[in-house]
Amino acid sequence: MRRLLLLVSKDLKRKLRAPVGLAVLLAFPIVFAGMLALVFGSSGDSTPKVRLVVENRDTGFAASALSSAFTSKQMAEHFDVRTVGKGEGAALIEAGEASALLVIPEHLTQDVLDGKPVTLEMVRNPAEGILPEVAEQLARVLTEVLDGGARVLRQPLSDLRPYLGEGSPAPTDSNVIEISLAVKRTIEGAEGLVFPPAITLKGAFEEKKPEKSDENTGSLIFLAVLPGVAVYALFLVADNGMRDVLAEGTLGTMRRQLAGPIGPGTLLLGKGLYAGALALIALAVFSAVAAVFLPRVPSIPGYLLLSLALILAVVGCSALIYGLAGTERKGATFASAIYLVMGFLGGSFVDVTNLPKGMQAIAHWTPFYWATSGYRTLLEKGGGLADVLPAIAVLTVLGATLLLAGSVFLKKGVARGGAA
Amino acid sequence: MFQVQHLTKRYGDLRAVDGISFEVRRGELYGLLGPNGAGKTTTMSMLSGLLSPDEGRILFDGVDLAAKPLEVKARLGVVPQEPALYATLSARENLRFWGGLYGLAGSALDKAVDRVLEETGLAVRAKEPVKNFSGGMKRRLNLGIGLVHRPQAVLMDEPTVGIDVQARLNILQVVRDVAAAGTTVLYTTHYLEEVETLCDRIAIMDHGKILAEGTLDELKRQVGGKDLLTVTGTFDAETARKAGAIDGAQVLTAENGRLLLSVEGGRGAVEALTAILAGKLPAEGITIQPPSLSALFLNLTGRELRD
Amino acid sequence: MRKVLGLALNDLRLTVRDKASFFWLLALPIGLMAFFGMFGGGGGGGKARLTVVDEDGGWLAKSFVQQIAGQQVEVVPAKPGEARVRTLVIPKGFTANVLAGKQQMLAVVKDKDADTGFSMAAEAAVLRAITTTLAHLVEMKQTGTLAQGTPAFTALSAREPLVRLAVRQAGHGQAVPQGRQQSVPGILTMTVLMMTVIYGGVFLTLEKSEGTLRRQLAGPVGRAHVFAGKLLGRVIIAGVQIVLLLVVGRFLFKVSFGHSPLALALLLSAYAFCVAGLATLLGAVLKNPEQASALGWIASMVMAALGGCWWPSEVVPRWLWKASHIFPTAWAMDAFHALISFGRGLEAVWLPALVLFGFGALFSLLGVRFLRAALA
Repeated sequence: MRRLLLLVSKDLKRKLRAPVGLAVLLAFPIVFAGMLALVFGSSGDSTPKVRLVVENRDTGFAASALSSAFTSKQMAEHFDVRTVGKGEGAALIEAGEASALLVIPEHLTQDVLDGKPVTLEMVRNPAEGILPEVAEQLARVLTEVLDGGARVLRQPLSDLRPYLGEGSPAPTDSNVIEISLAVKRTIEGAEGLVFPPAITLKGAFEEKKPEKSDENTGSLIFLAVLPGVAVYALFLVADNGMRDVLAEGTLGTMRRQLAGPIGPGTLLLGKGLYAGALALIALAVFSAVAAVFLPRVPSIPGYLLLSLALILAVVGCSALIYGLAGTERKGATFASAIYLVMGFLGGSFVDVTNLPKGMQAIAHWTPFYWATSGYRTLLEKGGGLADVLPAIAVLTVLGATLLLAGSVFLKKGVARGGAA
Repeated sequence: MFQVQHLTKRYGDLRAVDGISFEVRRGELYGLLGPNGAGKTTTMSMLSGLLSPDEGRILFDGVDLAAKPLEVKARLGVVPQEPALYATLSARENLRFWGGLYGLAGSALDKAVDRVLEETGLAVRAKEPVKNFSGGMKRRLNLGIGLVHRPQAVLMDEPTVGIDVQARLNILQVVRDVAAAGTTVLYTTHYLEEVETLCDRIAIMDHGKILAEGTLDELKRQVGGKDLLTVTGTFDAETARKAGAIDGAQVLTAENGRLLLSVEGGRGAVEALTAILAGKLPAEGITIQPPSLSALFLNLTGRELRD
Repeated sequence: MRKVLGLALNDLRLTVRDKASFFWLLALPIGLMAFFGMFGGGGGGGKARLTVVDEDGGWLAKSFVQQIAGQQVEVVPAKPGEARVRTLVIPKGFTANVLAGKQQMLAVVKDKDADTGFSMAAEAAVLRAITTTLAHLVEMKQTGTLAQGTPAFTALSAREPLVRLAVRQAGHGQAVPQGRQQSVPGILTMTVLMMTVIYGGVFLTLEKSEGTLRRQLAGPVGRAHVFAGKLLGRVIIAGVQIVLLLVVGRFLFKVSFGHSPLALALLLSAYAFCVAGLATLLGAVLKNPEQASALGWIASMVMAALGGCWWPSEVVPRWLWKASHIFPTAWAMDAFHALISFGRGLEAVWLPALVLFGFGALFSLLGVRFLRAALA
């Protein structure tokens, strides 16, 4: 026991004397999650506004109505509209300064009144993904309204037309009555369908606001991202620990220890405990940071047991990798590649539900998935011990199996390293 | 203290150590001399329990190393050829760790560490990380680590390789002091002058075998008190061989440009030289060496220790 | 020049000798391109998926569903057991109730993890379908064809609209598979930066600690030549990686890099110089390979993420997008979008290239200064 403590304290001391690598690994998840919170969570907005440039070349009421539809109170939450003069829109959209450009053509109002076909133009920013689509769909809604209105109000608009142009005669009283009756009949015909609308869409364009006023989007995103990236970083931290088995072989200190009254098994156990201690330190740091943003205290037994199971899994993984690799360099390369791939597949960087079905199935075979989903269950969803028991069980069994297998190979390597 | 019996280690067809047997007595400073590749380090690895021999056995104070390795290792100290130190830890921290590994603790450990720091002259820089040490200082610390737990025997594998003269002298003095205090030392080297000045008994090793063993005087007597005559010049091996066929001289090496003869000391050397030159051998350089280990090695192997 | 080239080729040799370099320089970037290319957002490879459950089955419900469509909105029928991101339920009695003038309230039920932008697009598509449907119904009522049902509705849908919306993309870029348009240049930018900075930093710190750099400086080579050789070595390695990834991007992922090879070459030369300068600066400043590897990695990840390599700039708040231009990655991505998405040429690339050359020059000058101090 004393020798084990001696081995672990010696290695921890060495690591603290050269802390840059460990510090970077501890900083990475916090920086990464912080970055995402900054990008996606600033000012409480979870979706940026559609930057729409409107080039209105017409002066009639139809064009004004179209243009002002985007600046209504509800639309203003989602659209950032800039109105420009004729010919100015093209330069802006070509420079990528907007999500979309809507060009309202000259004589739009007149053509609608005349019942002539009219074309509005929308130019989408090809460098943007979905915001131009939002702009296009809403523009189509408005053109449908205009189209529908033009057809349905065909007769009254035809009747109105002679009196709307410059220099046109003023309508007589009977003209006004005739047109009003025509409009009334049209409206009556549309009653039950349009006034009020027979089909409505509830809650359209409503963003989900945080449930409590003291939760902000940035914190939510930080807490959503941190578990996955922290799990990834933990694997790298433990990797540091087990890698040292082979590093000491190169240093010659492994050989010297084996020449002393200590067996390979004890040495290996010491390294495993050292790797576990590093992982525990990292977990403590991540937990402390997460605690600042947590809206509630998670289930402590669940958190502790999940963390212990994860530590076992990370140590076991790296033991097997370095046991099979044989040299420090090979092991470091394999480990980096394996952890990166497992991290992506297991949900450390991208939510597993966003992966294709086949990959989602593979995710379940990675310890990253179980650890990440376990922590999310505890921290985001407020789950308890029972909810994370499957994750704890999987990580424990996996960790123990990998550690056993890894120890067999590592012990051979340790003995070889001593004889080198 | 040490009894090595028919020790053998094979690597495929190569016999790195070929059935060697020797004994190191308690309190003795025993030297193992041989060129690189002789099998010295392999022998040391087996003695320190890092390698298992294919044949033979090693007894330490009657205890079989194979049967009770940890018991034996606890009483041994090891000073490896390459300094095995933790660069980011200080000298004191290194000593505390290794001393602790060998069972020291508390005030006993503190005292042992202080003692070693004094003996190795590192007390002033005890708190500095080892990565800041010079090569000589690292070697001294390397040596000190092997001694911190006051072992009954120390295995030193070429502890002075690659350091300056002053540092080497310091280390050799430490080794003498250790031996004088009663610790048994098994010392390997390929430097003749070290074994000549340090060791009580010496074994000469080459190609995995021990070729000769004894005190310095005993070994020199094996040479028969003969001098070593070296003639260099522009001649081929056949010419050299013919020239060396002289009464009272033994040809050790006859090769292009070099002829080595073992001749009787004093007058014998002069007579041999006269005969050679009378034979019109185109000699350009001549040296005569008195009886030495180098000569013995040459005698035994046909080549110089540094070849 | 010969000595500078010799030094550079030596660095290239050392890099290629490292068997892991094939994985880090080539295999990993390709894997990441493929992986990130799956995400255009919203889980549908760039389209908003909307699952429609028609519980009514009447002619109006079916006609209504047919109206819901969009360039990036995909309507899918409900399948048992399949996870749904967004769901629209057409309730039983929809057709009869609408025709009877009874208000029907629909709702798009969103999964809590559904991307908000894509959900907005889906809702907009539903709104448009509602507008079209109601307009057709009013017209059918006016013309007395309401009783005909589907044929009359279809006829109205098929005719040429009076008011239409013509949509086109800005620029002259070719259409590329959704997701890859972002992932290919984004991952190329990130991995070239990351690998150049890490390999370059690690090798230079190793040379410092092993004494080979000092030995080079002790030889008949000027200090400036030695540094130029280090820099050139990194530029060559970055250049080789860039070319290989361009080939992969073009032929495996079918991403067209625009119509101007000259503009592309200018951009990528500038970028290679920039990242090489950064690698040499890091190697000069940092003390050992572990520091170089760790800091190079995290710096690259931060610059890549904030510079727009991982997600389209549209999702980033404008203030942050502007601020991210302190990183070279943002300039590189801007230029890539101009070339790929907008199909523009030299005129769009000269400024980012100039800035990148400027970054490279700055990093190189600082690197020389720190290296001098380190070796003093």
